[in-house]
Amino acid sequence: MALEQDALALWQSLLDRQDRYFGRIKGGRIGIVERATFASPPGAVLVWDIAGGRARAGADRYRCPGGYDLLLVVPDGARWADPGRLAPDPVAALRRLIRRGEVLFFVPAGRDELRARGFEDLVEALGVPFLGTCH
Amino acid sequence: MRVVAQTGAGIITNQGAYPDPRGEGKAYWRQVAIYDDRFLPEFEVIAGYIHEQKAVAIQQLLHCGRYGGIDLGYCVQPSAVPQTLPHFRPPREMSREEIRTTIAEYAAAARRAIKAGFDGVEITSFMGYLLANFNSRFTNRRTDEYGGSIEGRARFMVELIYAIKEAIGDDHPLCARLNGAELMDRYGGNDEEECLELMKIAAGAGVDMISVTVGWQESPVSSIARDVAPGHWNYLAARAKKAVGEVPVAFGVRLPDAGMADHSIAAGEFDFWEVCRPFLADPQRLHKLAENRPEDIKPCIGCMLCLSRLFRDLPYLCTVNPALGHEVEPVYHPAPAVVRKNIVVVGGGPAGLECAVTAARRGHRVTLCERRRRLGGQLSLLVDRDLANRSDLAQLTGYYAAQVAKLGIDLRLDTAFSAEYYRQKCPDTDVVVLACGSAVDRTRWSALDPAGVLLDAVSAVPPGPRVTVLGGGKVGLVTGEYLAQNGCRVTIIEEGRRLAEDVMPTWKWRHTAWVEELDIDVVTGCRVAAIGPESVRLVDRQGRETVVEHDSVAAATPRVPENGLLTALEFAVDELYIVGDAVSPRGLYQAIHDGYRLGVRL
Repeated sequence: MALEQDALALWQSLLDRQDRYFGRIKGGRIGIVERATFASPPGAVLVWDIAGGRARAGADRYRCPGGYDLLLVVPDGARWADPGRLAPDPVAALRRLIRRGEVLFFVPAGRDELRARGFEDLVEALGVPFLGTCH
Repeated sequence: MRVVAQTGAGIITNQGAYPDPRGEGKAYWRQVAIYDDRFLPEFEVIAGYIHEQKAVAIQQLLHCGRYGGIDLGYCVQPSAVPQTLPHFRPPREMSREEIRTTIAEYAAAARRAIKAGFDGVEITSFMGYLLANFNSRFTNRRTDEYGGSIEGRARFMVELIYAIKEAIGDDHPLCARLNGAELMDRYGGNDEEECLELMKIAAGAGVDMISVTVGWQESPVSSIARDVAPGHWNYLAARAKKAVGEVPVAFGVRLPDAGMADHSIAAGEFDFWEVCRPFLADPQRLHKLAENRPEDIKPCIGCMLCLSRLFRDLPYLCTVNPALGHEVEPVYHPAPAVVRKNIVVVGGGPAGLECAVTAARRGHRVTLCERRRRLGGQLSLLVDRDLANRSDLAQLTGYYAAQVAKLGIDLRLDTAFSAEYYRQKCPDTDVVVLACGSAVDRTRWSALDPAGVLLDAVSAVPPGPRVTVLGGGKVGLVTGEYLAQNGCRVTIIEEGRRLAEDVMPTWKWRHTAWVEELDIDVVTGCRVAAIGPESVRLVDRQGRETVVEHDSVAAATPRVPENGLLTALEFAVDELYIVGDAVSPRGLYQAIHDGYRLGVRL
């Protein structure tokens, strides 16, 4: 997943229209990483750093643990660098992909920490019941 | 535990006790510990209760691994694979030394269980606990001798079996609960063939019985909930039975029916029927079967309230068995009525039915008035419309109908109860119980609906092909899903931020998944500004307007209690009570519990 400045600018443009998802979050980091990198770090990771109700897109070197609150593991391939894949609503698109098993959802942060920082709505919007277990 | 011992089961397995003093194995609030001899007296009592009933006593040893560390800030696993659900703790990878310590703690715990009087022990590689974490490709990414190939991943299990067998000797059986399917395929977990291979390895290592289970706590698909048909997973037990030779196989996943279990055992699919949740629903079910009273058995409806509570660190509750957890409290047990009263129950929904049946069982003379032509109230809505296995719910209404008939309750269907009716048709009444349920608050919508087109989502089936449902709680969801499955184009409008807020945590995902699978449009965080015959107009928080077009529109919310008779009867009857949704609209379990709690004390 090569993340050029142009791609990051497009990501930023997309994230800037998602205040309803990030407005309640007091701070945090979401990582989007390809399966190969997740299985064998290091590699590139797309990060959404959330502060002040706004998510800022950036590229980083994937580490585990890497301070991610939520981690989305996507199939290998350059297409994930393209924000158009998730436009216009990246959270709804990710929810569908998580449901289909195409994207894997992980929660590196603890429950209480996530709740304290306002992640509950976002986790639910991604289709994962915040307090649900056992199907 | 004495109630459990009295179920009539031939083998009784006590709840999983964690074997380590650090608490890394502890996953549940109030989970018992067995890492020290100071716990022996309690285990001795439990083994004694089981033996009093001539049953075999087994103690489960349960290190919860990935789901453990409930009192700590972390859990331990073979590899530090992050959690997929927020409920569980962040992981730490176990060192070889920690693995050896854990095996030794397991062996000591097994020895302790036998010392306490248990006949055998059980280890558990299922549901994503520690042993499963070692066995699974998903959570075991080790490169040392405890990882890699299936033999490497199984090494922990084999060493554990050897250590426990050595600790307890050949006279005491060791059972292993193993996944027939993990249902973690998408995360890279074991497939069914690998699960079968692990069973063979366990059998080869000397386990005396294998219990086949299905799924992990975090499996993204259903394993034990109501949307899985009873008997669905039997094939896994049958495959295991063929694979493990002489080792007996036990099975009970989503198999609540004794008749089905009998058939499976006769067909050689497995050797022992395992029962857990059905015993929570009715601990006396085996005795009732033995007495040829199947109609008296309260069915487990697979609603998962028990597990929803467990994972909120709360004691079990059962929707259909309000006495669960209160076995030693006399107030929860139906004692013969000291004064035999004439009781009229108004409303044949779950609250009214439970109250009527419980009161009649105590010797009261009960009349049950229901305005519709069938029993069930809002439960009937679920029986008719729910996308999950409806027969579970139909069994519950069937149970109540059978009890009403058997107890001689004077059932008056199609009866509009009123103060006038009461005066004319209910002479010598001592008690009236209002269980009239709830209805949509039409006053909330009337000003927005000048044409009067809004339907009540409970009492009417809105005609399609395009239907708008106001309210994204359980009533709106069940209605919308039913309509969408029957070919309607459905839009659900929820004024709050999220759908399914009144749905229990273990079932929310099912609704949100159905909404997506059925391509239902959802609008949240919007206010309804106008309702018309062809559309509704919505306004979001920024003041932007949207129009949703439809052929019909139904409201599922807000619901208000149907308690209009309360004032009319206040000074007309000796004792007047109100239960269920007529107090405050809630759900099925609250209605049944309300009805029962009143029925046992009238």
